[in-house]
Amino acid sequence: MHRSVPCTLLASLAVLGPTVHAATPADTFVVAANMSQMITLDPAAINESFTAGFMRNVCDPLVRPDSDDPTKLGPGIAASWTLSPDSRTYTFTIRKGLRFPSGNPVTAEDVAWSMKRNLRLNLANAQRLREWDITKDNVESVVQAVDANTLRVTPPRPWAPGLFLFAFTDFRVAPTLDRREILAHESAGDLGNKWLATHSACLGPFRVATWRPQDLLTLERNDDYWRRKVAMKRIVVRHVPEAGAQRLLLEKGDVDQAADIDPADFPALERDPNVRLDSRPSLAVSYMMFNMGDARFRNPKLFEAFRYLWDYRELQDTLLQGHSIVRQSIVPNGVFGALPKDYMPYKLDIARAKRLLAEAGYPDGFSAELAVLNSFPYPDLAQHLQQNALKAGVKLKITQMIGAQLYQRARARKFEIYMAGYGYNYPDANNMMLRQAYNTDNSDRSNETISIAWRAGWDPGAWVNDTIRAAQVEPDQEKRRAMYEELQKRINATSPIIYLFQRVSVNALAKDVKVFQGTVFGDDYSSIEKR
Amino acid sequence: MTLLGLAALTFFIGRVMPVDPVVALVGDQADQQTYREVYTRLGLDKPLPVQFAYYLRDIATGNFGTAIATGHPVIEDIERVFPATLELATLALLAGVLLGVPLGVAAAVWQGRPADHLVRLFGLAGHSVPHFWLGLVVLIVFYAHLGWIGGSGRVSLGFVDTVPAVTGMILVDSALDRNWEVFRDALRHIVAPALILATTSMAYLSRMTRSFMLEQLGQEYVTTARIKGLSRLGVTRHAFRNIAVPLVTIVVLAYGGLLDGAVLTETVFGWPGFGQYLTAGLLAGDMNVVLTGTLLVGLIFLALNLAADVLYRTLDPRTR
Repeated sequence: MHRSVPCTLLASLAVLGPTVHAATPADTFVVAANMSQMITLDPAAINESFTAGFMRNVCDPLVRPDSDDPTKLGPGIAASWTLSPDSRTYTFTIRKGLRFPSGNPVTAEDVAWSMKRNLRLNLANAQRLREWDITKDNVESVVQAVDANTLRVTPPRPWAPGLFLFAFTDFRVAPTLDRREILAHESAGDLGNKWLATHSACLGPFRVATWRPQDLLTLERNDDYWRRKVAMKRIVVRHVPEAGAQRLLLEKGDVDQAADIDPADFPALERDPNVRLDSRPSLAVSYMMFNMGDARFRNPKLFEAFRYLWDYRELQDTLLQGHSIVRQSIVPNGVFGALPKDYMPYKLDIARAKRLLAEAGYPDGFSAELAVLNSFPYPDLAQHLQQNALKAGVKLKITQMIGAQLYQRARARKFEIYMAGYGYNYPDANNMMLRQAYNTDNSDRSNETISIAWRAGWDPGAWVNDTIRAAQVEPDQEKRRAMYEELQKRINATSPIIYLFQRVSVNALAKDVKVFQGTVFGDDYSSIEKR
Repeated sequence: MTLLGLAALTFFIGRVMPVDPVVALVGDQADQQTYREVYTRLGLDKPLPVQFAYYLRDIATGNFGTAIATGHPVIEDIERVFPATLELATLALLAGVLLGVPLGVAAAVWQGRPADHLVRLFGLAGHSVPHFWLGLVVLIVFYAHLGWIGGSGRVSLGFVDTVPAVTGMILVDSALDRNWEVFRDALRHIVAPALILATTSMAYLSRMTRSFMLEQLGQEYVTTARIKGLSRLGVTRHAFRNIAVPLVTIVVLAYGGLLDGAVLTETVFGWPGFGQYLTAGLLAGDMNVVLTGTLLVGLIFLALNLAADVLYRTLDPRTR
């Protein structure tokens, strides 16, 4: 429990007296963050949510989610769009007169080129296009620049219109890259991948000025930004790997935002007059799963038993206070197609779990290894489960691992019981279904290793797979919503994947940050105003 | 030869590590098509000896590869992070020697007296207090409450990139630039991590100095000198000259240890140094970083050994 050492320490020393308070410059926003996961700034290769959220301030999407309700979409770099009567062809009109920071004009050809580039590079985000059936082989006909301001997209299947537009809310799917600038920096046919790892060539409120990995990242304002007047001239992110040190910098006033505050520090920070906490929902969830490749773990009654081994409410109110809320469905709150917020069929009931275990063929329990991520809150959650499982006769051995090791085990199906987090990409239930429940080839040689259902060795059956596919092309939004609600209930009844909590993202800010907005996708630095 | 053995050992240990560099590069959400292509691109589909041969061929031509965690060539990264560690380690060693050696001499001269016990207590604390904990306490007291020292990083944000980078060591660069404001700020930032790092070498050096001195003070020439009426100071001076050679060896070893980079201290103080860089590479299963880093550490030890040999010659009259 090394996590508690700095906390106790901070608490015991808080009596020393008030801190000397400094302040950051009025037109600069300073962030302390652990940037060790930030390995590239290339939109085709960004593979984790912190960098993606951050780069949204540099790369505007074609279609912008509303800041209050991200399921509602509005114009971005595309000023407007139309859908052909047969629901097949989307025609985007690129806003006129936009220029990249380099001075090059923003054209439809840039968007088309960027989407093709993503597939040709075949890095982390190529899959995000394949998810919409856009592949290297068909992209030339699917995505076409008609003229400088008109982009035509004709996907192979008639996606539900309310769904397909989400593809264009993500700069990792449909970036608008400055192709002339990038090609000027190309080396050995890499389409600028090496150069873009440390530079930016997008249009957004900011551009990357300096980037020294694991040290410092600065963004500079694009002065003639089209969407709004931006108050901050510079955004400076400093690599501060230690959460306790981040907290000190924030309390001292040397930074305006601390990105990785230890949740155990929230109560103390709430009392600090120089700090304010600002929270909003996120699309990240915590889940556990059994490996059905293991012959012991095939009975749905076993999975049901484990759904009753969690004291969800208690954890939400104590360990996870301010960090996560209970969510017992594959679809998080605030997402199109989600079950109501009060959908909570499971609670701690050890007697019932014991009965279910007996019915599943384990009257005397069993022993198994529980592999968990080594960062908060997973080791603590694992201990909670271990204690309750023991009361029901199940002995769990906890093994903690770093991400790269744990994910590799899931991908190779080499685990018994597994617990980690998952960050979804856009607020429509299709994303959750596709990533976690869809699995049409459960064999070891399958190509569906990205699917959590596949990793758990779970064949969801024809009904689930077919309904997910059918919902994707269902034009009637109400019908689509009903399909997702039914899917969620059926998944809970049979799936070896158990949904536990939904993350809340908490921003620890300096008091004089007056306005600070964001969405489930990340912070919006263009909105920041300081006193 | 030593370096080749070191490279081979690191390479094969690295390849059996349970961390997947492909996952580190493409993340958890890439599909199988991307995974396989990147796997092949990294050359991981080839047999291990072939991979090793390719690696040797590359480093022979001066190509140490690109780091997964930064997207930069490893050599460029090391040029950037190593000066930060060099600066920190050198100051830490200086502090360690300047405090540790006199304390060790004092403990030997006043053996069994309160001064000796005090030094022992000091040494024990220096060895056993975790840097991670000490670092946070120092930050809370001297940075947050008293404001005497700087917070995270090598300089305050307002001074970042304000002096031209000549050596990469900010104290040296700002002195060369005669920018004393930056120099003072850099000093305020380096003093805490350097002193914390110094605690271990100070403890070690004081213990070693004490035992070397005791050995000398028990020699007959010391007794003779005493009988002849030489003052305590004079005797100590004589004896000290004779421990210079073994002392140099352990000082050099301590320096080598400091130059490996101190992950915990660098983490607590947000110091963008070699230790953090190497650890990030290790956690990403990034063999280019780990191998180049290991080779560099090997080179440092070889160079320091050489330096020690040269110093022996100058210090020991018998080898002149």
